[in-house]
Amino acid sequence: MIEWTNPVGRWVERELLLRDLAMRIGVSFFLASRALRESLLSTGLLILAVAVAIGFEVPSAANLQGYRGELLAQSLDDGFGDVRVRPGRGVVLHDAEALSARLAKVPGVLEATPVLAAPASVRGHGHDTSVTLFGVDPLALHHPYRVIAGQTLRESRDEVLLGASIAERSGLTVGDQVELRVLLSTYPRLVLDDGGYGVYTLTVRGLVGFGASNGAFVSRSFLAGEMGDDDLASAVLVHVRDHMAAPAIVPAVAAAAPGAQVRAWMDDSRYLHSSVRAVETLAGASWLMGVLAVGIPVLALLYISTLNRRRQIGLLTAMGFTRVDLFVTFLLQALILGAAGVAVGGLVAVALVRYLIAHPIFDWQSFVVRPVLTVHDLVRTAVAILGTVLIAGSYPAWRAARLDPSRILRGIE
Amino acid sequence: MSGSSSVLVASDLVRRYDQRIVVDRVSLTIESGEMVSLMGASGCGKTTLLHILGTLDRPDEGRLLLLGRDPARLSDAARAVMRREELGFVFQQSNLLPSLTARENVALPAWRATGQRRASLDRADALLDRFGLAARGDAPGRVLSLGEAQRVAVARALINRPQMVLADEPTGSLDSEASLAVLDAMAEVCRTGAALLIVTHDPNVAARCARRLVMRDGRLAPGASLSAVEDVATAHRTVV
Ligand SMILES: Nc1ncnc2c1ncn2[C@@H]1O[C@H](COP(=O)(O)OP(=O)(O)OP(=O)(O)O)[C@@H](O)[C@H]1O
Ligand SMILES: [Mg+2]
Repeated sequence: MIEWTNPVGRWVERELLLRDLAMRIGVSFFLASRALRESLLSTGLLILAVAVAIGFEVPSAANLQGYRGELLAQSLDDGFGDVRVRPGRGVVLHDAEALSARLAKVPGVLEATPVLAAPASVRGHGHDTSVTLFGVDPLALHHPYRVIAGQTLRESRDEVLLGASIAERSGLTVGDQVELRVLLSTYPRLVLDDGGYGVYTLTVRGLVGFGASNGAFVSRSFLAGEMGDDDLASAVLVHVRDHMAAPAIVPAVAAAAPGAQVRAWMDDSRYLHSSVRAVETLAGASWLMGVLAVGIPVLALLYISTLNRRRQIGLLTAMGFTRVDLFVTFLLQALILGAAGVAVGGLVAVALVRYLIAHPIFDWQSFVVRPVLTVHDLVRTAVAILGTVLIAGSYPAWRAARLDPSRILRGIE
Repeated sequence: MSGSSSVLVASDLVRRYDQRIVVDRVSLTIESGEMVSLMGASGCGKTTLLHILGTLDRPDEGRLLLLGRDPARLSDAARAVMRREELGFVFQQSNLLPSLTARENVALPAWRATGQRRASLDRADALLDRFGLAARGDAPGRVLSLGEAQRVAVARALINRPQMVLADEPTGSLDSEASLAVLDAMAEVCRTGAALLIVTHDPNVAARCARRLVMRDGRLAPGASLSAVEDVATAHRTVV
């Protein structure tokens, strides 16, 4: 049998390839767009498949991104910080101010704020509800709560912020008077009538939501003073800029807090960490689904399109179109479809994201999931989908280029 | 390359399908400007031979020189260039891309060869005009009548001024009147200086060719005369 190609021919071919490139693209583009116009239904379906994938994937990813961001913001920024510093032994830190000041100087730390916790019960309208009472610094930038009604805390001995769930169960609201019974103990002991037990009547200044909705918050100086030591804290909450980088700063924080227990939020709040990871996994899975949802129909429909055009492929070969021409022509079909689908889908996605920003899918006690969409995300998804379309389109294109012209012109392939 | 005007020199071409010899040691020379007909019973290997001569298929044995070059020694792309610039094809039917207009169909090989769309379309218009199809230029391939479509195909085969046109039963699907128009177009091919090899079952078509070949069981019958051609034609008629 005679070999079709020879090594010299390959070099010639490369020369031809370069010289032909410009003219090849023009004709191929013409043929590709005509082929797409020829079968409007499958063209429409393919554009739709790409558009739906983008139009669904982008808002869905943006919502998950928004949910993740809100979860972290509520749990860390408006929660218990990125790194938590607790007493190494006993239940309280005695030099909270000095320790906080030292920690605030650790590079990368935004703020370090002490909090003091005590078991308490709230009485309102005759109901008693047990709560954890936190003493916090009202002037700090970060607080372990987000106010959802009323006002935020002031340096005061008469005011309290109440968790929204507690308020709801006790029928209390902003401006109401509540009776707070607090166990003023810095170590476990039996409660006797020995003054270890404080009763205060306070005004509800505001309500706080999400993670704080089962707690109550007063000024730390007030609570610590009642416990007999102005500088007490149960923990110092350290805030950093990048939540995911919290573990990296733990050694520096630990060095500034000798003897204390220092934990990043991932180790301290396994539930939160799992939730965040679950969201990330979900986002990845949904991304993969989107890509497959594009790739499979594109591959199938373009493959069918090459089957339907076998005769034309044979004629083009006879006219002197090369395999590369045919490959490029069919790949351009995929590219045109992909570009059109991405354009339509991109518009739909942006419109949907705007709608979801105005009408969040989740809104509870100030925990609001608003989609987060950056240009970078949009472009990345568009490029990924377009890439998928091209990869899915290259198999049918390759098949088209490899057909045996003699057989297809006889109609036996 | 030899100084002769041979467009095509084939020697001892053999093509087998599944051990069966379909083209059997065919040797053939075609000079430029020659008009050659090829007749033979159905299944005797005419299309197979035409595809080999047109570099659409490869021989299992033997040697082919097209314009002094051996296609077997060329790359795939170089063979495509050869088909584009030196050869033209007309098949029995469905020659046109259905979604392209007649003039786009005709212009396509020229556009691909030169990269110039406008000039190619102009040239296509001129060719269509020559074949009496000026009014049909903007009709899509799919709506043209069989006879019109065949003439468009002849125009397309000519657009890059090929050295040889290979036609496989170009009038096979047409009535006698339409055949005549296509044959007139075919005659134009030779007037351009190109050689024409035309596979046909129609003795009237063969009669218009200066040289008539007959194929039997994959072999070219030596010194085929007109009467032999007529024998084959009658044999074919009784079979079909
Ligand atoms: N790819 C193939 N595989 C197997 N057999 C093939 C193939 N192509 C052609 N044949 C066989 O080769 C023989 C010659 O076919 P060919 O098409 O060349 O005949 P033909 O002379 O053109 O016939 P017709 O006048 O009917 O067009 C036939 O028996 C055909 O079935
Ligand atoms: Mg045939």
